Amino acid sequence: MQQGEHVNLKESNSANISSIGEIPAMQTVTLIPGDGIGPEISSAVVKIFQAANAPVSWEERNVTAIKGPGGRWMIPPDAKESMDRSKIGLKGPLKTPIAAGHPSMNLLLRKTFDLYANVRPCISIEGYKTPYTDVDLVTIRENTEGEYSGIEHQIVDGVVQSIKLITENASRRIAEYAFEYARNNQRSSVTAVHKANIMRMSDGLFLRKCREVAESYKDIKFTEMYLDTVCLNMVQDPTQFDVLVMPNLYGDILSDLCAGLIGGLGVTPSGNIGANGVAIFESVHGTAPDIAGLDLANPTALLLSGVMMLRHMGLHDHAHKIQKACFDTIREKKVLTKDLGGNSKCSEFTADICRRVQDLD
Amino acid sequence: MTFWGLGGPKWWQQASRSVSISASLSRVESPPARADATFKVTMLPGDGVGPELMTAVKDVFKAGDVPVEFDEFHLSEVQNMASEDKLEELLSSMKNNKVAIKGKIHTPMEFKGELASYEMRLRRKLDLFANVVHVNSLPGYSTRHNNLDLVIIREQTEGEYSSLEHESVPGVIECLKIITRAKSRRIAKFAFDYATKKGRNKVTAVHKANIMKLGDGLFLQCCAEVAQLYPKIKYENIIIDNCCMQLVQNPYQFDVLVMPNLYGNIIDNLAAGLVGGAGVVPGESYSAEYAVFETGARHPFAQAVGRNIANPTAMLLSAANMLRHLNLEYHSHMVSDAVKRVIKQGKVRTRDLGGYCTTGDFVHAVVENLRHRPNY
Repeated sequence: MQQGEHVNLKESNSANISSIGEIPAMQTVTLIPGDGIGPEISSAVVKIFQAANAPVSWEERNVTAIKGPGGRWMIPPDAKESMDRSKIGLKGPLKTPIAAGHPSMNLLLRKTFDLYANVRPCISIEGYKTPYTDVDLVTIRENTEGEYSGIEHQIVDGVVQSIKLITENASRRIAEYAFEYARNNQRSSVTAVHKANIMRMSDGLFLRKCREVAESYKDIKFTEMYLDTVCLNMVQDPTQFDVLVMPNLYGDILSDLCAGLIGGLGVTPSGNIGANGVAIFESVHGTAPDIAGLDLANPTALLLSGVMMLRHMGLHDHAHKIQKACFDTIREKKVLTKDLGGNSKCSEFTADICRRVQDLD
Repeated sequence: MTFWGLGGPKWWQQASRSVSISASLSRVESPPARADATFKVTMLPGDGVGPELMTAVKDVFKAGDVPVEFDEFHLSEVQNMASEDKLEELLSSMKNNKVAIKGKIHTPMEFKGELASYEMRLRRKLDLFANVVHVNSLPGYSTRHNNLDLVIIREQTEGEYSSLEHESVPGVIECLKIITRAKSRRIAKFAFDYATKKGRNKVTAVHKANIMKLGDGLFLQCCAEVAQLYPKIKYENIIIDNCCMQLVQNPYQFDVLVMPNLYGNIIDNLAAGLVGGAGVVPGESYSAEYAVFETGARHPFAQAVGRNIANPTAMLLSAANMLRHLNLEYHSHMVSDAVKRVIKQGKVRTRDLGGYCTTGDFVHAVVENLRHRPNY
C-alpha cells in the first residue's frame, strides 16, 4: 500500500480514519459540478464513489461570480463557507465568458483560497496508447505569481510591457511543497526547471530558493535543468524525469506538454493546494458545450482527480480500487466513450466501472 | 587558429572578394554567383562542442573544394575571452562579410554587472530579429513522428529576453517583457514573406493572449493585420500550451509557426526533440543585412567537449543552407546530399542517434560520400 499523498504540511486528514475494522468516518467534500458537461461527469463520479463505498459525503455548490461589497468580484459566500469547512473540493470545468466584465472563475477561486501549487501527475494509461509509454512524472507549478501576475501596461503607443514577478516567499513555499510531496510519495528526485541563464535575477532567485530548500531534504535528489533542455529531452525520453518544480508560465506549458504525452486533457487529473490546508482537485479540460447533456462525455479526468483527492484524504484502499477499475475498463476497450476511441455512452462507461469496483470488493 | 587555404586549389585567389549584399527591408538578398571568387564568411566557434563542429564543417568544405574562406573569432563568456574590443572586431568583420556561421556562446548563470549575455548583445547589435529553424525528419532515422516538415520562426530581439530586471524591494524581483508593434509587425511580415517564398500554405501564430492580454494581444493583432496582406496563405493562431500538447499528439497539423522570443525557445527545442534532438536540426538568424547560420536548438553541450561524440549533422546541414544563401547551389546540394546519405545508410551514427561512432567517423563518412557527386 503506498503512502499517503500528504499534500498539506500540517496533519493530514487520515487521522479521521479510526482503527482497522471500523467504518471510517464520513468526510465532507465540496463538489462543484461546473458548466457544460460538468454536471454529467460529476454525477458519474458520485455514482462510482458510491459503488466503491467511499466514505465521502458531497456538498454541492455552484460557483458564479458575484459582486461583493466594495465592488470586488467574489465567489458566492455559501460556496466559500462550505469549502473553508470541508477543506477539500472537487471541481468540474467552469466556463469563462468572454467580456463578462469579471475575471475567470478559476482565477477567482485561486485568489480566494490562495491556491499556490498546481500538481499534475502524468502517468501513462495502459490501454490508451500514445507514442509515449512509461511516462511517470509529476509537474508542480507555482500558481500565484510569475508571468501571470496580470500586471501589464502600454508605455507609449505600440510598446507594451508585461511584468513577471518572482518573490522569495512564493519561491520558497513552492519548493518546500515540492520536496514534501516527493518525500510523501516516494519520489526519488526533484528537478527545478528555469531559465536563469537569460532571466538571471528572477529565475536566479527561484533557483536559489530551490537550492536552499534542497539542503533540508538530503534524501531527495535535486537537479536543475534549463527549460529548453527539459522540452528537448521530454519528447525524446520522458522516463528520465520524476518531479518537476517550476514557476508559473513554464509550469503551464510543461504540464500541458506532459498531458499531451499521456493522451490529452481528457484523461489528466490535477490538484490545487492552498495555503490554509485547502485542496481543490479538478479536471482541466473545457466545458465542451457541444456535447453537454448528450451523455457522451468522458468522466476519466474528473474521476482520476477524485482518486488523487482520496489519496490526499488518506483513503488509499478506495483510491486504488477506483483507479484499478477505471484503468481496467479502458484497457478492455469494450465500453469506451468517443474521445477514447469507442462508441459508448457516458452512463455505460460509468456503469462498467461501478460494476468492476463492486467486483473488486 | 587555422587559416585554411594553405594547400587549396590553384585557382583560389589570395585577395578574395567579400560579399556585398544590398539591404532590403525584410529579406536578405543573396549575392550574384561568381565562379572565380571565394566567399569570406565570419566564423564564431563559441563554447562547448562549437569548435569541434566548426572543425567538421571546415574538413567537409576542404574535401569538397568549397570556395569559402573563414574569418575566425573566439568570443566566449565562460572562457574569459570576452571583451568589448573583441565584440567590436567581430562586428566589423560581419559588416564586411555579411554572412556568418557560429556555435553557441554559452551564457553563464552568474552575471558580473551586465544582465545581457554576449549572445544577446550580438543579436541586438546585428539586429538579428528572425530565427528560423527547419524541423525536418531525416530519412532513414525514424522517431515517434516521421515525415515532419515544420518551420519555426521566432522573434529573438525583444519579448522576455529584454534583460530588464530589478529588485524592487528585497525578495521581490520584477522582470519586464517588452512587446512592440514595430517588431511584431516585422517578424509577422518576415514569416509571411518566408512562407510565400518557400511555397508554404499556412502560418500559425503562437501566443498566450488569454493571459497576457496586452502583450501577446498586441503580437496577435500585428500578425492578424499582416495576414490580411497575404490572402493566399492561411492564417491561424493557437495558445502556447495547447500548441505544445498538439505537437506531441499531432504535429502534422502545423506548417509555419511564428512566435515571440520565449515561446520560440520552447517550441524550437520541443520540435527538435521530435525529429531526433539538438544534433540534427539546422537553423539560421536573419537581419535586414546579415545572415548567421547555426544549429536550431542552441546548446553548448559542455559535457561532450573533448570526447569527440557530438553530432555534426545540424551544423553541416546549416553550412549547406549557408552555401545556398551564397548562391553556391551545387556545393550546397553536394554537402547536404552527402550528410543525408550517411544518415540514411545508417551504418555510421553518433551516440545521440543510437550509434557508437565518433564525430570524426561521421565526418569521414560524409567526406567519402562527397565523391559521389549528383548529376544535374
